[in-house]
Amino acid sequence: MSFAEYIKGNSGRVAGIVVLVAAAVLAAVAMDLPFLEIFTVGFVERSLQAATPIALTAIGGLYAEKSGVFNIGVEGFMIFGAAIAATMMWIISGGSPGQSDVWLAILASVLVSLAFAIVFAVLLIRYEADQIVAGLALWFIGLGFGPFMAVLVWDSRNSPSLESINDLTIPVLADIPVLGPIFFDTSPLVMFTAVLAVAAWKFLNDTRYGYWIQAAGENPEALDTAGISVKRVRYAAVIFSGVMAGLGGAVLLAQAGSFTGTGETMVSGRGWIGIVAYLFGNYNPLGAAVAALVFGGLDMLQIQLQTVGINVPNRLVNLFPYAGVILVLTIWGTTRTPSAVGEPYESEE
Amino acid sequence: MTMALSGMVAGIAGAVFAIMIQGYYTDPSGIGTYGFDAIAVSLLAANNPIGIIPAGLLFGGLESAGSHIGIYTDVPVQLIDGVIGLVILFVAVPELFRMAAVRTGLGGER
Repeated sequence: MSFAEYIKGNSGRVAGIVVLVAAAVLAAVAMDLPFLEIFTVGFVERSLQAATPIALTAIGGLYAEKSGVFNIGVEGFMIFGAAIAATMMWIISGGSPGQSDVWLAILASVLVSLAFAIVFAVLLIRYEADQIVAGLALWFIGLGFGPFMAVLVWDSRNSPSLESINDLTIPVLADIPVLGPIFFDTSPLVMFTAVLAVAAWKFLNDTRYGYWIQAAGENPEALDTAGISVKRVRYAAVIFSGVMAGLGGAVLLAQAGSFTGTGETMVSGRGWIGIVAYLFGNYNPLGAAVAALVFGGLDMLQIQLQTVGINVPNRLVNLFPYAGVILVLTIWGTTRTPSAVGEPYESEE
Repeated sequence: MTMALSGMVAGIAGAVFAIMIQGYYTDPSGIGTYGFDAIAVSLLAANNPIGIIPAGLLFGGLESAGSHIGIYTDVPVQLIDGVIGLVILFVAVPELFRMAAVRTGLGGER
């Protein structure tokens, strides 16, 4: 599927986003808002940063669901990712983390997430766990053991301030006005995510393995007949989604620079938003990344509005993604859920 | 119809929580994860309304025991949330125990 085909196939959705943005802009102009003060370069940069963990999680969850397994547990994986990255950063550096420790912590967090994801995948696929309930359970475990780790290490649910990641400046390109600071003078994680979104899209639609993943979700019998193990494909996809969500949590921590374990922890629903993002993007990694950017922008818009003196209740803004996805699903109703999603597959042999 | 009914019952549950347990209205996020707990309760009860009673008591017990432990011992409260999560996780995998039973020869017909 080429990009043009995707736009054509989802024209209603794309038009919807364009109309929404246009309406917002018109409303802003009509109400005589200080437009340029709201939509600054810094705002776009912050939106991209806020979108990064959501996009990573969404891409992972999308792969799992394409292969026929709901991974509702991404929120739990994100909490684990963030908590492990924080504790690892503290332990590796012995209390005064630097830039290299941030990268090591992200790597360690990815490795531990990999171990968790393998266990989770075995429970889901080999032992045919109820995918929704097991995913929810993972969230509870994350909510419990994430802050618990923080309590063990720091005697408090919240960590002291750790190191956050520095911006990477690409010479020459960063001097381009507007685009330079947004794309070439930003966190390396933002660049990494953008590249990854394109790669994930290419992989899913243009390679053999991508077709296997789609077949495992759409028509597992056919894939089995073709001599490819459905379970193996699903293992790969679920483990990938767990690792991506763990990475998303670690990235979130690397941006925030400290771990918060009170309430719903620092992740606070970003995993759920990630799921919403890939539904919004109609199971397309690029669409999911754009949806993540919209949600990240909404999140940051509130701060932006506050700086110019408009107060919007926090809860109302947080509601937008969920209300949005319900609207999209009911009005356009074109989201194609893979047909074999949620059903364990038993090979005939 | 059934969806509307389930929404209605869930709404009643929210009202009961606000009136009976809290006695005042606070930020709705204070209701925590009760709704998600309830999904696990209904799974544990194997979709049998009578089974809801013991299953619900188990989760209610874990919840209130959690605050008790938090008050009287040094064990961090978060551990209880994690344990509840583990309980739910194992509730979700009956197949695991059936396979284990088959392997150890304790029954569990195939």
